[in-house]
Amino acid sequence: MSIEIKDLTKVYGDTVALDHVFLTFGGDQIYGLLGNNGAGKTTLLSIIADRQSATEGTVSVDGEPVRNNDSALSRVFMVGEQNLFPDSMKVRKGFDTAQLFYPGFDRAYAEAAAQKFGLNTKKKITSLSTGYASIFRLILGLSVNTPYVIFDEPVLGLDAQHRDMFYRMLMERYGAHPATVVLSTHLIAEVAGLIGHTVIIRAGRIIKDAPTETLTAEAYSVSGPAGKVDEYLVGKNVLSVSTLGGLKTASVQGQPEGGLPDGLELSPLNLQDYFISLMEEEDNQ
Amino acid sequence: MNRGFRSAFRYQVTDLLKNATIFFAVMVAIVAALIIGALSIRSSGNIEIHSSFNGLGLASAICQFVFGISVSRSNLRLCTQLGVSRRSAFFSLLLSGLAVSVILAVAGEALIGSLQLISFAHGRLTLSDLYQMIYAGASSEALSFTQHLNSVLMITCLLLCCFSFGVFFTLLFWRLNKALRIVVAIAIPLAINGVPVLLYRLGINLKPLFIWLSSSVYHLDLFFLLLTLVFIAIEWLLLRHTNIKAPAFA
Amino acid sequence: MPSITEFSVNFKINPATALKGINLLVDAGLLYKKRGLGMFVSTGAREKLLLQRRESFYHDYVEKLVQEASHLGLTPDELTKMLKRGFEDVN
Repeated sequence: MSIEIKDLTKVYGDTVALDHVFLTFGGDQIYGLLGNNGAGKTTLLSIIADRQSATEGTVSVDGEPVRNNDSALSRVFMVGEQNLFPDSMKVRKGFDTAQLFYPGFDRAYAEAAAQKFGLNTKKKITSLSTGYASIFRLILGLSVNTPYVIFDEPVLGLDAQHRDMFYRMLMERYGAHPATVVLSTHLIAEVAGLIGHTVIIRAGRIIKDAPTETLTAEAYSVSGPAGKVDEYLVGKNVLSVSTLGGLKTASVQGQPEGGLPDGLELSPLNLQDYFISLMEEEDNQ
Repeated sequence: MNRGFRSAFRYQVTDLLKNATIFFAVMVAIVAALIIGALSIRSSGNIEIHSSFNGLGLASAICQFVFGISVSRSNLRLCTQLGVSRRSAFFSLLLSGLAVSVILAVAGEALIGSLQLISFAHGRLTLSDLYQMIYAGASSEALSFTQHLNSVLMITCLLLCCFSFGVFFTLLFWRLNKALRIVVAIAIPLAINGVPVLLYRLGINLKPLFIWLSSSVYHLDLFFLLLTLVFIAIEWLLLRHTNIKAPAFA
Repeated sequence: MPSITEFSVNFKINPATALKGINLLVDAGLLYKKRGLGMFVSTGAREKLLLQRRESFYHDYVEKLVQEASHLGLTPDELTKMLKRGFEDVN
């Protein structure tokens, strides 16, 4: 049971937004979809939810293609960056309507979550602030109980406390009702611990698709006096380098064999640093 | 009919009926006012005061056209968010338009038909509607049951056609970019004025068409239905590849 | 022991990661599973852990301490004096 993306391509005029993408989301895992602005994250997710059509390629949910397929689409809920609810609709009516369309919708949970976040359910959805509009949508995502839930930048506009609450609620909900979750975000450091599997997209192409642990084990950071670091880096696959006075720090692909020479310090790369180094390396190519 | 389609239809028809009820209540109020007015004004001397009302059908048609324009995009967006495919969203939109067309046609017929019986007794107020005016010779007699049925059918086809026309307009503007929107906006008044002139110049005589249309109400029904189908076909072509996004200025 | 979900909520980590951690502890004999009841701490776990930590104390703390002290130019005597002072202050 999975979402299969095969050879997905999206072209707008001259721009290639997605370039022959192959991906699988399944196994009730939490996936992180990481990439810079314009990398193609939202385009990819919109096509999965059939909000946009692909130029080439297919998306299938549990073996069924999504295009114009109600049964496939009912299994995927997308928390997008935009509000698609009507102008005059209040939050409460939004919950009512979600209940109508999704029999598994946990209304009690949604109401409790709204209270926790301080979301006024009597307000019109379109009159909510950016943060609360995001909160409304992410509450839907947490309550809807579909086998696949996609969160595209779910914490836009949320303050630190609310972001923290969301991550905890997501873990809690996921523990009680496992589902396949795809989390697309800029805030890599915040979600690094949550995502079991990382997908990195750049300029419409998937450049990494692996369990998070594998990726962070794939690289390390070396720092020390510039001369010594340079010596050490010879023959290594260097991702990025930064210099401050006589001190140099470099991110290296692979694992250090044996120990490090004296005077050099070794530290693991967290996911965000790994991502930044990777982007720098790609930029330089 | 799957679950998504059913939910989408239930939501849309409920929403549309709410608005249609408001419209109809206003119409009832207007007609009631007319009746009260007609019955209470005394004619003095030889001057006969006579008033008539026959605009319910037309008003309903305009109302459905406006509904078509106003609900289409927001309904399609809502359906998209709630996991209903584009195709089901579109057809449930049309089906809800049809359902409301039938309900408005029946309600309108019931209203005017029953009030006619009262007003004819008084003779100072004439109530009628489109069907009677075009096909029943605008006589001062109440319609027969068959004629009522024909009227309901005719109004239904008209209302459905107007609803789809509204949907057509809004989807057209949704798909077009800014430049084309301006072109279309200019082209419409041009066409309204220019097409009759063009037809005259080209020697195309539409008189046979009008004769055919007025010869039988079923011809008019067919005409509206065909027009509706054309709108639906174009709408689907427009909708198939549209990127469903939130409004630009939310 | 708290449940896997409680761990994942509290530390904001993926439950699979929490599970791996728990399993490591089970493999080390520090925890055991009781079917249907949950995870429990093994008897003697505390003692085991203390022993382990004592062994790694040298590598984790003392080596680094001595390295840093050397950087600062402290003699072993000066360092020992500081350690004694430390014990007095703490107790």
